[in-house]
Amino acid sequence: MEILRQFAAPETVNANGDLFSALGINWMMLIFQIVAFLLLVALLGKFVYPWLIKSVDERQDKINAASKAASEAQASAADAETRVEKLLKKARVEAADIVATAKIESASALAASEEKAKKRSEQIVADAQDEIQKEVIAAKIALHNETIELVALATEKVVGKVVNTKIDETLISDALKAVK
Amino acid sequence: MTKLSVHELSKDLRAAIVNLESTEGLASVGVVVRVGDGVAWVHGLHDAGYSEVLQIETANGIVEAFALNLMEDEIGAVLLGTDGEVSAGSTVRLKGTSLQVPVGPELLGRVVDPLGRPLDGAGPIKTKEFGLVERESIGVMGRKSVHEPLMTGIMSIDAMFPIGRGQRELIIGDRQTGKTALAIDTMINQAKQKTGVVNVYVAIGQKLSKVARLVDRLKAEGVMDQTIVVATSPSDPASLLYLAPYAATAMGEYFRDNKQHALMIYDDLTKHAVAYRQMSLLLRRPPGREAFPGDVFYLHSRLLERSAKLSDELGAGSLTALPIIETQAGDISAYIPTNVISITDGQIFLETDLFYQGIRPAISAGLSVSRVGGAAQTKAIKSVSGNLKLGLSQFRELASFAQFGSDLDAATKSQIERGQRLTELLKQPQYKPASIWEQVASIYAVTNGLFDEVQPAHIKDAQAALLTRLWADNKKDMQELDKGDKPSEAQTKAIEKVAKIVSKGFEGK
Amino acid sequence: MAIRLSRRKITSYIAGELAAGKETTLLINQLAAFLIDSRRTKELELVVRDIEYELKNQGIVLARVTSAFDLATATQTAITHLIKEHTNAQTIELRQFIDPTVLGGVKIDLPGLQMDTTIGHRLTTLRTNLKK
Repeated sequence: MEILRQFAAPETVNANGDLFSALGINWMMLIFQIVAFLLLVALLGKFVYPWLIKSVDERQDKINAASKAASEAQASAADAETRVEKLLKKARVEAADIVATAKIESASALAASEEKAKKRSEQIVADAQDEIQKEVIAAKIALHNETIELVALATEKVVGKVVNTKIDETLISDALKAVK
Repeated sequence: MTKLSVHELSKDLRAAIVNLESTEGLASVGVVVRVGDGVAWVHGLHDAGYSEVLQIETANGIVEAFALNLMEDEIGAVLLGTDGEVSAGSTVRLKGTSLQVPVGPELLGRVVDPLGRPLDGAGPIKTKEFGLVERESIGVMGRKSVHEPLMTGIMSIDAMFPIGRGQRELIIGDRQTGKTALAIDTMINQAKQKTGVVNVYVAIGQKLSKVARLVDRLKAEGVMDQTIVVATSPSDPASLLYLAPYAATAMGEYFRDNKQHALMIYDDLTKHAVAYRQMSLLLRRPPGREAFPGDVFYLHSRLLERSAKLSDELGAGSLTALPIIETQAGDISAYIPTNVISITDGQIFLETDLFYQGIRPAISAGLSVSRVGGAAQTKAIKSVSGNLKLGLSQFRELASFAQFGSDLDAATKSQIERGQRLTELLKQPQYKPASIWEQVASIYAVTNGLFDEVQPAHIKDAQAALLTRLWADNKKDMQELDKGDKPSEAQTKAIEKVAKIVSKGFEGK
Repeated sequence: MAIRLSRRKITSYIAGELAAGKETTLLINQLAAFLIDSRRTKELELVVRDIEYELKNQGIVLARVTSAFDLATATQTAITHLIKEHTNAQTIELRQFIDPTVLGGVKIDLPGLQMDTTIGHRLTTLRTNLKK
């Protein structure tokens, strides 16, 4: 008690002589303050606290939402990465196929043009041989015809001098016998 | 290589001299009364028969003619050579035979005239047999229905208008529409596919430069060894132009009658009809419609009836005919075209419009037909051609809609695009006939939507890639498919797989 | 309109009359008048040929024989015999022509028939037909 009194104001120490007076507590004021406090609490509780809580809740929700979105984004990013990886793999396979097709086509085109060139050169050789053969045949024909002409001419000259009436008669009778 | 041999020359001359010894005795003779325009009028020779060969003696040798007009007082004989050497008063004898030409395998690879005389300068042709130029066609009982395909290598024809061995299929169109090109590709395909079919190409009044180019092309493609070319130029007498298709048919009949297959190409019968008209007018026969003689139908009907598929008893050989007719301004209702259309077993109509649009071969799917149809089609191609015909006919119906540019529903659009792809697919470069497996794979890929991602402008590239890849990766399957049987599941799967890969490469282009 | 008579009919009639022994001058005059009237004088040579041909059918043959030299009687007889065998003719008249260019042998011309075994003809054949 003496400790308590130590802190009390001197004018109040002796006024009531009890503890509360010693402490300077005015019952009316206290009740008033308590009422005021309760009123304040009530007012705060009615008007400020819900708004505050709401703000806090909203903030919390936002934080939660952001957190969720972030985790979702992370998941979809992971998923997209997986899909991209798959697509890339597929595209690589298709590209390889296309390249393979192109390579096969070009090899085939090369082979075809080589074959064509080879055929062409063989054709040229065959044509040349044909030409030579034709020339030989033409020469043969020309020689044949020329020889016939010379034979006919020679025969004419010789026969014209050799044939007389007697020989002619023999020729005619032989011809008539052959017909019979 | 032929060598100059004195011994051979001497043998020839001795044989010629020995032949002079024979004495014929009293023989029928006549005398040329007048001659001009390729016709010699002969007095005498009362025993001459119709189409019998006459021999006119001239200063430069014998000129042959054949008697076409047997009148009471004189004979009208059409000269088989130039009339410049024949003069009035020339002695005329009967040869004793109807017109015959040398026939046989010795003619293969040669260019000859309608009398069988070589034009290629490659030496004389010595055949063992002769065939009659004018001959009756095989009767009903000697024939069998057409059932074997004659692959032309042209996708539109083999898929939609298949030709069979023994069929007569007319190729008709205006000038410069690719008629001869179709015929040449068909010939090349016989060599490429090793079908063993002998080709006989008859050039009736064609420019010799064109014939020379054709022969060079056939040699380059390795076809000439199984081809006979019978050539007449516009400067030849009308009698030779008239005889050319008959003489060539006699050469083709040799193979038909000897259990082989032959293909006749008459290029073209319009010029043939004109030459016959010229001859008939000069022989003073009465002119009919368009100045053609009354028997101009018979002129072509008796020629084309000789093309037939023989029965098994007669050897099962065949003679297929591809006559060509040139129309004027697309008029297929003119006299000669209608005649020949009514004789043949179908026609392939080539349109100028299509040609200039870049659709080559310019075959009109609407007007062309093959009356033999599926009976002459390989099973492989039959399996894919149904969808092709359907796709194209749907496209034709809708084509006019596309021109108006109206908003179209998805189904219509897809039909139009499918039709455009099919049209692009059926374009084919010259001298590149397609084999059976190539045709089946290409048509299958497009008609089954495997190339739906490929733009029509790239269809040919996609096709080339598909075929190259298929041959590289699935050669055995494709060789099997080339035999002509219906595609197996393995073969179709292979085509689908490769088509999908190829299609990816053209996506987005 | 007058129907044009064929040459064969005309000559058949003339030959028939000649064979029957009708007067030649009258027939010739008739024929000449007909040809002039029908403007067919250009056919005269052909008419004569046809008459010869028709006469052959009636058994009268006019033969032209060409040789390089004069023919002996035996040869002429042999030729006449040959013609008779081939044509069954009762009357045969030979007309000889000498032509040195035939060189040798004989050429017999009958209406519608001919036999040429002359050397000249054989040489012409050698020159023309046996050339390639």
